[in-house]
Amino acid sequence: MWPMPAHINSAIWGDRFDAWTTLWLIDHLGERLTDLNFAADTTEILYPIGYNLWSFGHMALQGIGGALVALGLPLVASYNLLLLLGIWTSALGAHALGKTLTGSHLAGGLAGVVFASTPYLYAEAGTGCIELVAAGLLPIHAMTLIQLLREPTRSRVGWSTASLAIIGPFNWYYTLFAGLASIGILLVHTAGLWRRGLFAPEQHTRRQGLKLAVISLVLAAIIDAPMIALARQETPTRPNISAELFSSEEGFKAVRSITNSAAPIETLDKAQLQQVDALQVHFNSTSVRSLLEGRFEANPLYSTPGRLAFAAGIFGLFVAGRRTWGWASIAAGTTVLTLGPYLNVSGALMLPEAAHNWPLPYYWAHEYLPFFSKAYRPYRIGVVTAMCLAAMASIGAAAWIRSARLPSFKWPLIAFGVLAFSQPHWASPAPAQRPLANTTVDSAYHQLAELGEGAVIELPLLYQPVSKSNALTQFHQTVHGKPILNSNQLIRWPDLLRFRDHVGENPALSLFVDLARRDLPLSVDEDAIASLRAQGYRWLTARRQVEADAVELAAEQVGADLLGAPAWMLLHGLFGEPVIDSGTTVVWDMSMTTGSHRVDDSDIVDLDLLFDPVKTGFPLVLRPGQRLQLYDGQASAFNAWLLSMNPDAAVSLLIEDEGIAREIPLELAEGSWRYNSSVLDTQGSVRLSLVGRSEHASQLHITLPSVNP
Amino acid sequence: MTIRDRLMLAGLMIVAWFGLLAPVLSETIHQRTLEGPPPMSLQNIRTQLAEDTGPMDPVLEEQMAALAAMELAEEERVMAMLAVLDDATRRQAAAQVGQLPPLVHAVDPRFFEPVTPSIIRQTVEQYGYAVKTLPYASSMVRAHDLDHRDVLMQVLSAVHHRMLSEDQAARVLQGAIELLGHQEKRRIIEAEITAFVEGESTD
Repeated sequence: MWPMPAHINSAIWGDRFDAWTTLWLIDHLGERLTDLNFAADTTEILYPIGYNLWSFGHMALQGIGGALVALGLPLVASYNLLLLLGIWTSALGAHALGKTLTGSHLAGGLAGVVFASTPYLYAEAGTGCIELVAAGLLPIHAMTLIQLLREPTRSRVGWSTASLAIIGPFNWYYTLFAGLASIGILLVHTAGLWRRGLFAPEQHTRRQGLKLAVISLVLAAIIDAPMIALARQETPTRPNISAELFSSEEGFKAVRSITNSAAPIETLDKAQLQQVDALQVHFNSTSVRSLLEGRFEANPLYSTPGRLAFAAGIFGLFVAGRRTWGWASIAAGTTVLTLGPYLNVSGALMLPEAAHNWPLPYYWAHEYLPFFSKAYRPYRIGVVTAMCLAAMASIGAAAWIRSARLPSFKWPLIAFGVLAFSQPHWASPAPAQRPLANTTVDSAYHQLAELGEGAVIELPLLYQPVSKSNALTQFHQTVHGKPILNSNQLIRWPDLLRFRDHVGENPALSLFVDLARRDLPLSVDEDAIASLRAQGYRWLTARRQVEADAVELAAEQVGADLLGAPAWMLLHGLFGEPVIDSGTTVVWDMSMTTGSHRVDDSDIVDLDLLFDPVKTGFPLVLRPGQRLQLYDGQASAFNAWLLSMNPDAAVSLLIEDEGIAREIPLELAEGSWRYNSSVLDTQGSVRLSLVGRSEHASQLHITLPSVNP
Repeated sequence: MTIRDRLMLAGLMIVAWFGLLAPVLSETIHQRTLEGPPPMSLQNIRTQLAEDTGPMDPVLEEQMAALAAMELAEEERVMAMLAVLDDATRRQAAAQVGQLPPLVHAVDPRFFEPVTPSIIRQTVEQYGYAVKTLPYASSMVRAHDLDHRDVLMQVLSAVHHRMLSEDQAARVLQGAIELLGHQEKRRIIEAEITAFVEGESTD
């Protein structure tokens, strides 16, 4: 995972909302450990309605991170350390399983390499799901189960039960996956028993092992049973799934509108949000093509055990033969489950109609097996496949090691280890080549920490974590320490509906939701602000500079974070000068409201440019002296968001009126959207143009251009 | 079978699977996904209307006329862009069409077809944003028996391989922007005609 360890306290690997949320959770649990506060609810996020921490569905690993923070280790370092430990413990867990199966450390080593170098773990690491990287408990439990089946004793029942039961608080998915793997192992064991004679006296130990293994699973289920209600908190009742839903373009558009946080919040209802949940099952299913390619994908949705794991499994299958068939059968079964409810050969976003006739085992399990719908991301079942492939590889390695005709296995193992663990650097797309996410927080949030009590609203309020910038609000909370209304956790529909009801009670809050994409007029009454103050809200933040997600990927979400000129006019009109202005972030004090304010159509003229990231995606390139005409008419100010794509880009706003031309250099920040608002100080008609002023070509994107007439 | 034989068999299987079978199967799947449904054929609608002996709805007649005019305007802009290239550049550009990278906007629902937006993007990226009036073409695509898309690909090739002067690039960019505008209008008209015809057939 190099170069992350070199920046262990200043950058993280991966920057999706899960990562920032996990950082928040570690920090929050650290505070709670210090204060000995073990209540389930918090109002540090989703203020004042609150959030139940059990809704995360995993807290044990973050709790370890929290303990590190409470002991004084910096937050970001704790997070990165957990990530590294997750990979390491996964390798150790798989090694233990391989050693148990074969009696050889070298063979166990191969299992460790195969399991810990699978693209699945790195893809989850890249998104910040550190609890999923810590998959080592799965092979540990498989190991204890194998030991119990081989030599059934009470103490082994205890170990097997404990190792399964403890997975629950670490991760609910993995509890289910460990249960799945256990059933597979027991079926294989039973098949072997059947072949040898089910009631044969010499099979007593095997029969006893089977009985105790079943008892162990039941005991673990009983221990975890009280937590089922908490697990439901994380994954509420899931709706039925259907092929028609996965093929419906209208349904897809409606869901995309919600996940982009673009659908008006007041129109959301339970049925729509359950449809979003149902579609997740399809979006998170593997395709035949992904399995064939087995690429080292950075996106977890396309991740599989990977080529090297499959190759290692094939190696074991051919070299050790029958001894691997049981593991191969479980691997085949779980691979079919990763394909999700219908056979999607190509991985098309919309399920082709031909696939309607091919319901897969996952469909029946999701619909009819209790608790199975918790595994609503089928691709993740691939971690069980990876474990089985690791087991097969280790059995194959043991056959090699036992052979007197073959050379030592040490050097092939070292070579394979180097090849496998260096994959993030040379596989395509190489995740290690992606830039690390800087964890430096704008100085405005440090200054905000020094201000008085009161809850914070970061604008624009979005009800889904559509962008990195939006997802960062929860991380900012760890710096300023004040409760915030914003939360990345509204991906769960019960919480989203509570949020909808809360913002719906106040006209100002309603307007603040998706403020960047609101149509005019924008209007806020002072009574609405007074009501917010009475609820404990005080601080409003907005950003003039927003780190850009890739324009091609962000598509119509580009504008979600970018407050246009009308929003800035509204906020200035409501609260006057901000109390903090770091240049990139501003903070207003709601207690300084100057009265009601309204922005109308007549206050702004939108400019229709060809170079818009949503409309065309064309970049604008201006060589030295080249110009793009923007506007001709009455104008008192020019406003736009600009994104510089090269480090030495420089552009100016050329203002021509009454035969006089002058230029205002525009502010640019490479890789970030930057809001520019320039007062023109002109009289009469004016012609505005953008002019390239760098020695080289300036490549940029421009959006939300407007003038004030 | 000895362990060496088993090892060799495993190696062969891995090489055959990941070196041959999996890439071929994956590529086959990929190609099948690119086929997609057949596009709506306005020619079919025209034929249908020609076969219909009754009087044509005046709204539809107006839309069909607007569509024909828009198609002509598009052809004119395409030929005007081609006229910017001299004969030698045309031949050279045509010869290098095969070396063009995949079209960025190949499956972009924002555009009517992928070549024109690619010309705009490439021209801006290669030459910067500069436009100059593109004179009207003196002859049309059909008169030259040229394929609309082939001509656009030649222009794209000339831009991509930097065969144009800055003055030529500015004219091509102006022509491509105007062509994109025509295509957008045509898309709206075609959607209206399709909706109209579908509405008629369900009545």
